[in-house]
Amino acid sequence: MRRSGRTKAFTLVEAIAIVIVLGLAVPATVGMLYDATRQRVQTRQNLEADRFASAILETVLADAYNPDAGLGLDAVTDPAYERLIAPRLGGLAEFYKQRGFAYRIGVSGPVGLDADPASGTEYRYVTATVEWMPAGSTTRSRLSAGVLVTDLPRQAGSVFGPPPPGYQVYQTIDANASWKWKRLGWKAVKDSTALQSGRRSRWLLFIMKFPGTATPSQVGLTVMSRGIGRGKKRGGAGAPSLDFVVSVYDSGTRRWRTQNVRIAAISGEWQTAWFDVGNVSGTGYTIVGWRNARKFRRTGLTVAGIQMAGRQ
Amino acid sequence: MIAVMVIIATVGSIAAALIGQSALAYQRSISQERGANSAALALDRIVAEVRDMPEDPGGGPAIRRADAGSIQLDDGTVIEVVGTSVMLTKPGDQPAPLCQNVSAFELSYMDAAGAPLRPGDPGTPGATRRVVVRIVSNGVEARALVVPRAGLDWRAGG
Repeated sequence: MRRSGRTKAFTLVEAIAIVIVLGLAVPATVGMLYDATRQRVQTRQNLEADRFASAILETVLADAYNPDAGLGLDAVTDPAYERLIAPRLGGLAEFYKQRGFAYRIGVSGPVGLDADPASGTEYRYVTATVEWMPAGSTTRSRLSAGVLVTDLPRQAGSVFGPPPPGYQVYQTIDANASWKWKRLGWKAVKDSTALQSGRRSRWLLFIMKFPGTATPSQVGLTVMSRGIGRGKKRGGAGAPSLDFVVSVYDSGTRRWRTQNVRIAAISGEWQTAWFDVGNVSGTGYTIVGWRNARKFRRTGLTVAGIQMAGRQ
Repeated sequence: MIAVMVIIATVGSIAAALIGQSALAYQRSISQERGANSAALALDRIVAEVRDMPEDPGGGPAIRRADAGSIQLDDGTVIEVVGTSVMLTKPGDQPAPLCQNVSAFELSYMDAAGAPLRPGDPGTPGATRRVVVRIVSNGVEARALVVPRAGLDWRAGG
């Protein structure tokens, strides 16, 4: 039997079918590949945004606890800080800006249990918000992260002096955290964690735990003077020598030890004076006071706190 | 038949080009993702080491050597680039690779005020309060800034 006619490689119908199949399959395949790529890029953008926000918060943290002039919590809470932080990010601001990331910094009002202005301690919540345009999207994404900062540690850390050679500081008590200071007539110094002697202030009580074994100990008092006189009559910062009474109760011997000590030439800058209180064991209660309250009031005495150091 | 073959060839070549380009882009994105993940893991570890570095008895972070390509801490920890790998050496341990296929690794240092310090200078380790880490792996660049907690003044408050 003989076949008739020629064999066609493709008929038009088959060609159309192939075109339709390709027309359906190719966009779907390309679309899937594009989606996978977009998701990967978005994941990477999320990581970068997270890293950028972390870098901003690290810088905020460092600046908030920086005692240098122009920095500290006051600088961080300043509205201009958002611009000031850019050169402090070590080139990261430019790097991320070129990649389409923008940032904002928000600072809350005082928060927390100690938001009471009378306490002198301030807590703020700083938020770093990073915005960017995700790959293949028309709406901007936003990532926020925050950190709580306060001026209390900054003040404490920046004003207390180092211990005497061979001694190690075991405890530092901020004056603001001392016992019933308000009732004792002291008042908080604005923008500081220190306390200033008031009309009735005669003594402050600090409760601190000395090392368990008897060891040579020293008590450090960090003070400054805002000048002699009162109000408009007050002269320049600083005061002549002032006499203090330091009493330490040693629970090991169950005895009080009281001694008069003198800090010579208190200046307008914070200074820490160390007093040898001998061997102290167990829990010690330390009282720092003075006999002539009026004299101290006139000198604008300001107390940052007390430290206890033992022999290393 | 010729017309049919022309049509199919045209459509096929376009489709092949589309799929080829997409596959290339996909491959590139996978490569970049791998590089980004690798760099991110290395950065996270470096940031953790620098952030938690020990405190110098005289105050501040305990850095023994601060170079552009490496940092050595007082406790013996070393982070450095060796060839195309970033290595971490902990005291008593063998060097372990943090990231491979690294084409650039750079450490820059800043003081408390945010001013840049010159890597390798004798005074740089003592003055360093912020460290910026830059790493490029598989063509992906990642940067991070870290503040050693030992350098923050609040620690001195006890």
